[in-house]
Amino acid sequence: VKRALAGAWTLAVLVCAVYVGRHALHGLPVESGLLEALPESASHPLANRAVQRMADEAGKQVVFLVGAPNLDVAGAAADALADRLRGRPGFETIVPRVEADGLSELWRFYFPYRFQLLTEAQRAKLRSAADPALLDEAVERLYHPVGLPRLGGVEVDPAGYFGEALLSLGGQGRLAVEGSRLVVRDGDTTDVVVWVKLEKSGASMGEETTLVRALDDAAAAARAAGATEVLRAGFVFHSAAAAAQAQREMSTIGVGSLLGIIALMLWVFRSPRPLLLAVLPIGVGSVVAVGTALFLYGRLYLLTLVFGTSIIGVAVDYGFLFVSGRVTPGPWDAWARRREILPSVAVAVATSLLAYAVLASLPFPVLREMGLFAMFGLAAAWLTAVLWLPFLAHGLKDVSNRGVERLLSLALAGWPRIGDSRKLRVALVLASVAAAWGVTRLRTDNDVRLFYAPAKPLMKETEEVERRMGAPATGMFFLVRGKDEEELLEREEALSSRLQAEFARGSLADFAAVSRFVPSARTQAADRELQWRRLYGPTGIVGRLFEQLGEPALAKAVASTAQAHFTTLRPADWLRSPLSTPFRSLWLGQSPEGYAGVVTVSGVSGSTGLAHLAEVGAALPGVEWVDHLGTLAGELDGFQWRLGWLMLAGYLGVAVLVAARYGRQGWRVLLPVGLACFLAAGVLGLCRVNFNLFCLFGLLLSLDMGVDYAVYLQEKGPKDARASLLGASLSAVATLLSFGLLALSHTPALRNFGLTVLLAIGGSWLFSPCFLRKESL
Amino acid sequence: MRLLALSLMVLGAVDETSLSAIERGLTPFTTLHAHFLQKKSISGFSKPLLSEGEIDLTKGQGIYWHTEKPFDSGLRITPQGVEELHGGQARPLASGQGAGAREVGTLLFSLVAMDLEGLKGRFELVGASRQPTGSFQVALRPRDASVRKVVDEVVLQGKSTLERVTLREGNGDQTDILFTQMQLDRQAPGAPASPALENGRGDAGKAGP
Repeated sequence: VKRALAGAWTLAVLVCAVYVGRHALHGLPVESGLLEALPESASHPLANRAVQRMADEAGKQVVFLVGAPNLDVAGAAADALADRLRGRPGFETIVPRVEADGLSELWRFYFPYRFQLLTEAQRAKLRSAADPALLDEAVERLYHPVGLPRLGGVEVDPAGYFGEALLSLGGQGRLAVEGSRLVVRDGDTTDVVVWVKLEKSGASMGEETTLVRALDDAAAAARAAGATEVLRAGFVFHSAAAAAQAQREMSTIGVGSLLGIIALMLWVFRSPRPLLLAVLPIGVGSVVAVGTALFLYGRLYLLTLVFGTSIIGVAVDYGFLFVSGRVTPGPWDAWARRREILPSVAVAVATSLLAYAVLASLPFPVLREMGLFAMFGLAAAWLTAVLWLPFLAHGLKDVSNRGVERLLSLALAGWPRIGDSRKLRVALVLASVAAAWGVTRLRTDNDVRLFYAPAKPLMKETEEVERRMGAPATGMFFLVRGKDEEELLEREEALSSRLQAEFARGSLADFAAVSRFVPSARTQAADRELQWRRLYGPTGIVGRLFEQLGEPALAKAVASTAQAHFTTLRPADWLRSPLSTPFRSLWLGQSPEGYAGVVTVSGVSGSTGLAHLAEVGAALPGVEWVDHLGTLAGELDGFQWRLGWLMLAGYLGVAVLVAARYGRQGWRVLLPVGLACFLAAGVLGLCRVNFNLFCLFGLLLSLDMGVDYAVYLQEKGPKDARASLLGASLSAVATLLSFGLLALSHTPALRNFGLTVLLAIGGSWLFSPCFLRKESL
Repeated sequence: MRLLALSLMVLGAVDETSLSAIERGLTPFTTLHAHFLQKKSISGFSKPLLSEGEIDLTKGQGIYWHTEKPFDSGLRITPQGVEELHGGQARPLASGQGAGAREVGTLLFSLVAMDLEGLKGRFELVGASRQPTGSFQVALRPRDASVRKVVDEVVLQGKSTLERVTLREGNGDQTDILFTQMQLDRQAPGAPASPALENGRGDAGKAGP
C-alpha cells in the first residue's frame, strides 16, 4: 500500500512537472501588471469598467517627450528615436509625427454640422455682442494676411466661426500641432511628442524587459541625434522596474536566506542529505502549485510567485521534523519516525490549509490566487513528506551531534516555564498590557502604492511628462450617467460649463469629455438657431458682410445652405471616425441603467482641489466624482476588517482542532502563538508602523506556522522533546531567515509583511517551550 | 520613400548655393519697420480686398501687424501665439490652443524676418534664383501635406531686403504683400520695436494655460 501510494503520487508529480516544464520552455507567463492584480471595486461596477478601459489603453501607451532648443532638432531626434524602434517586435505603432492629415480630417468630419457647432466663447459673443462689432470682426478676419484655417471657398465659412470652433474642439490641452509634429512648449525647450503603442498591455516579465531595453535604446538614439532631453512615461517602465526590483530582492534576500539555512543545516546535521530531504517537499510543492495556478488561471501574478513560494517554504517543517529524529543517537527506523511525526504534521497541514482557505475566500484576485497556490503547494509538500521521505530516508546515517544535543538539553532545562516562573508570568502580563495599548494605537492605510514603490527618478519623470502634457489625473474622474444618450450629453455639458469656470479660475488645466466633441442635440439645435439669427439668416451679419464687400450674391447662397443643413451629430458617428481614437475610453455607452460617460480632468493640484471637484460633481444630477484609488484603499480597509474576522474564525477553527486533539491542554498549544501575534501587533502599533492588509496577512501566516511549533513540542513521541525542539527551531530560524529578511524589502507590502512575521514567528518560537507541561522535561 | 528623400536632398543641394548667396546678400537686422500694401484676392470674390498699414518686427520676439486702412486693427504674432487687437482689446485668435493659427502665424513671422534657415525645416524649396543685379526670388512649399491644404505656396522677392511676399492658400485665396519704406534697426538693437509688441509678450506669457 505504501508503495502504491508513493508510486501514484510520483506519477501525479511527474505529470505536473511536465506540464509546468512545457510552459516554462516558453517563459512562465508571469504578470507583473499592477492594476490587473488589484481587486475590483465591489461597490461600483461601472467605475470598474471605466477604470479597466482606461487602464487597457494606458497599459499599451508609451510617450516620449523629445526636447531640443528648436523644433527642427527635436523633430529630427524624434525621427531617429522612431527609426530605432521600427521593426522591433512588440510595438504596434510608433508615431513621431502626425501622419494623418488632422485638420482636413476634422474639417471633413464636422463639415456637415458646421452651422450647429460653437465654442463657449463664440456662443457668449453671439449672445451679447452688437451687430456692428460682429460685422467688424468678420471683415477684419477676411483682411488678415493670416488667420483661421479655411479649407474651402469663402462661402463655406465666411466669418471664420467654423475654423475657429475646429481649433478649440475638445478642449484647451497643452499639445499643439506644429507642422507635422505634436508639440509641447515649456519655457525655452520644444518637446516633440512621440507616441508608441505596444502590441499588448501586461506583457510578461521577460518581454517587458526587452521592450524597455528597446525603448531606452531608442531614447539614446534621440539623444545622439541632438535631443537635449528625452523624457518617457508609460506603464511598461513602472511595471518592468517593479519586476526588476522584485527579482533583485528575491535574489538578494532569497539567496541570503538560503545560504543561512544551508549553513545552519550543515552545522546541525554535518551532511547534505538531511537538508536535501527537508527541501524536497518544498520543491515538489512549488512545482505542483505553479502547475495548478497555470491550469486554473493560465498565468501567475508576480506577487503570487513571491509570496506563494515563500509560504510553501513552511513545508520545510515536515522534512525538518522528520530528519531531526536522526540527531539523537539510537537505531533509525524511517517508518517509525514517520509514525511518530504523522500526528504533528497532520495537525500542522490541517491548520495551514484552514488558514489559506481563509485567504482564498477573499474577493481579491491576487490573494485568492495566492491562497489557492499555498493550499495546493502545502498539500503536495505534505504528501511528499509523508509518502516519499520514509523511502528516501531509509538507512540515513547517524548524524547525532553532541554539540547540538547538549545545546538542546540545556535549552529545554533552562527555558522558563509558565508553571513555575513567576517572573515570566509577570513579564508576559506586563508585555500584554503594553501590547494592548499599542494595539489601540494601530493605524491603517491600504493605499494601492503599497504594492509598488516606484523608484523616485522614474516617478519624477512620469510626473514631469504628465505635467507638461496636461495628462489626466490617474484613476480620478467624473462618472456621468443619463437615461439616454441625450440626457448623458446634456449632463456632461452642465458639468463642462462648471469645469469651464474652474478652468478660468485656474484650478484645473483641462478636461476631456465626449460632449466636447459631440454636443447634445439640444445644444446643436440652440447653436444652429443662434448662428442663423446672428450670422447666416436674414437678421444675421453675413448678408451685410458680403454686401459691404460687394458680393451680395454670395450672401444668398450661404443663407440657403445654412437653412437647408441640419442633421444632428450623434456619438455613434464620432465613435466610428478615427478622430475619436484617443478619446474612446471616455464613452462607456449603454449599461443596464442607461448610458454612461467619463469626464477626465488634468492639472488639478492638491487634495483641496480634488475635494473641490468632488463638490462640483455632487451638486449636479447624474454626476459623480470617482476617486478609484481612494475607493480601492477604502475597500482594502474593508477587506482588512473582513480578513481580521476571518482570521479570528480561522483561529477558532484551529482551536477546535487543537481542542479535539489535546483536550484541556489545548491552551498550551494556542497561547504561545496567540500571545506572539498579539505582541507583534502591539509592537507595530507602538512603533507607528502602518498596520495594513499585509501585516494582517503576516499574522495569518504566523498563526499557521507558530501553532506548529507548539504542536511539535506537545506531540513529542517516545523519544525526548529534543528532536521536536530541534525541528521547531530549525523551521523557525528558516522562517525568520526567509520571511524576516523581507523586512528589508523596498516594496512596502513585502516590508510590512516581513516585519510582522519576524515579530510573530520569533515570539511563537520563544514562547512555545514556556508553555510545555512540566512533566515534558 | 527613400527615393523621394534622396531627390529632395539633390534638389536641396542645387538650391543651397543660390540660397546661401541670397542670404549673404541680405542686410542683417534685429528690428524692422515698414509700410505694407496688401492685396488679398479671395476666390469667389470679384474684387480683391486692399489694405495698408505698418509692421514692426523684432527678431526672436514677434511681429505687430497694424492695418490702418480701410479700418484700424492689429494682429500681434509672437512665438506664443496670435492675437487680434480690436479697439484696444487683445483677443487670442481662436480661443483654446489655436495651434493652427500659431502655425500660420509663425510662418508669417519667419517670412517677414527672412528667417530662411527656420523656414527650411518646414518648407521645401521649389525654386530659388538670384540675378546678377542682386534681386532674388525664393519659392517655398510646405513639406507637410496637411499644411499645404492651408498654405500651398509662398514666394518671396526682394533685393537686399524683402520687398514682396505672395501667399497662395490651399482654398484658392491669394495674398500679395508689398513692403515699402523699410527701415532696419531704426532703434538701438534689443529695444522693443513697438510698444504693442512689448505689451504682447507680457500678455501672451500670462495667458498661457
